[in-house]
Amino acid sequence: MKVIINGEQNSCPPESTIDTVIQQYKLPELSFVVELNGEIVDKDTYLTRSLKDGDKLEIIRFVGGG
Amino acid sequence: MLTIANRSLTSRLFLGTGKFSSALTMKDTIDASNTEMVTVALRRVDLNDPEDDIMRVLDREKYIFLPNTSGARDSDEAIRLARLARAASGSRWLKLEVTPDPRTLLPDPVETLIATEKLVKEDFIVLPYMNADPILALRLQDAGAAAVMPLGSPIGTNQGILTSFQIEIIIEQARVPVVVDAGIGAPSHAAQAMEMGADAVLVNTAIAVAGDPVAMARAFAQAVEAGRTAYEAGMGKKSSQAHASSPITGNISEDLGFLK
Repeated sequence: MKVIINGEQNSCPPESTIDTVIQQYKLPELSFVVELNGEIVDKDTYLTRSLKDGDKLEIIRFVGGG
Repeated sequence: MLTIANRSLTSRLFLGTGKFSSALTMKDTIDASNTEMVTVALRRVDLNDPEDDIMRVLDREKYIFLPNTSGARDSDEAIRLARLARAASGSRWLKLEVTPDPRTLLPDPVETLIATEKLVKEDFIVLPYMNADPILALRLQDAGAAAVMPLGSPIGTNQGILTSFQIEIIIEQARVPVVVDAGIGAPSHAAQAMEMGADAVLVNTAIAVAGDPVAMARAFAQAVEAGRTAYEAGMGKKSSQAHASSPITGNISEDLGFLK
C-alpha cells in the first residue's frame, strides 16, 4: 500500500504498522517522534498501530537550531 | 543566580546549536561556553541518512534542552511543533518562534501572543522570541510567559543591539527574566546587553560561524560575566559635561596656572 512519509510517497507491505516503517528504514533508537495523519503517536503503540493506504506519516527529530 | 520557571542557572549565556560545521565542534563549543541552556530545532528525519542525530552528542544531564518552533509561520504551526517537541524530548521547555517572513525572520507578534496563551494553558514553559516591543513584552508576561526574549537585531545578522531603547524599557518593566536573543554578533554586544540589565543572552550564529567557535564561546562567556558584574557593581552615569579625574586643586606652582 502507499503511504506518504515525510512528504514523499512510499510503498509498504499491507498490514504494516508504524514499527514496520521504522524497521524498513532502519531508524535507530533516537528521540524521534511520529505523527500519523496529524496526530502524535505514542511510542508504546508503534507495534500495534496499523497503517492504511493513503496515510500520512511525519517522522521528526531534533537538529541543530538557534 | 538566574531563575527561570523555578530553575536556577549559573550561566547567563544560552547557546543555539545551529550552523555548526560538525557535531563534535558543536559539542566542544557547548562545553567551552559553560552554558546551561541549549536550543535545538525540529525537522524531518532524513530517511536516506537516519543516523544523523544531534542527540548523540548532547548531554541532557548538563543543560536544559530548549526546543524551538523555528519554521512555524503561524500559531497553529508553532503549537504543532511544540507538541512534537514535548513528545520527542519529554521536556515542557519551549522557545516559541513564529517567523512568517524569511527575508527578515522577524517574529509575528500577534501569532506569538496567541500561541503563548494556548501553550501556557497546555503547561509548557514558554520563552517567546519577540521583537523588542515593550507593550508586547507585558502582554506576553500577562499570558504566562516564563521569560521574554527580545531581539537585538534580526537572526543571523550579527548587527548587535539595534533595539537598545526598547530593551531598556522592557528590562525596566519586566516581571520575568529578559533574555536578549538574536543579532548578537560580538562579545561586546553581549556585554552591552548584560550591562543594560538583561538577565541572559542567547547567541548562536556569532559563535557557530566564528573561525574558532570554541575560543569564541569562551570569549562570549567572559563578556557575559563582565557585563553582569558591571551591572551589579553599579555603572557610572553618562554626562555631557567633562569632570576631571585628577584633582583640580593643589597644583605644583602658580606659574603653572594653566594646569589649574
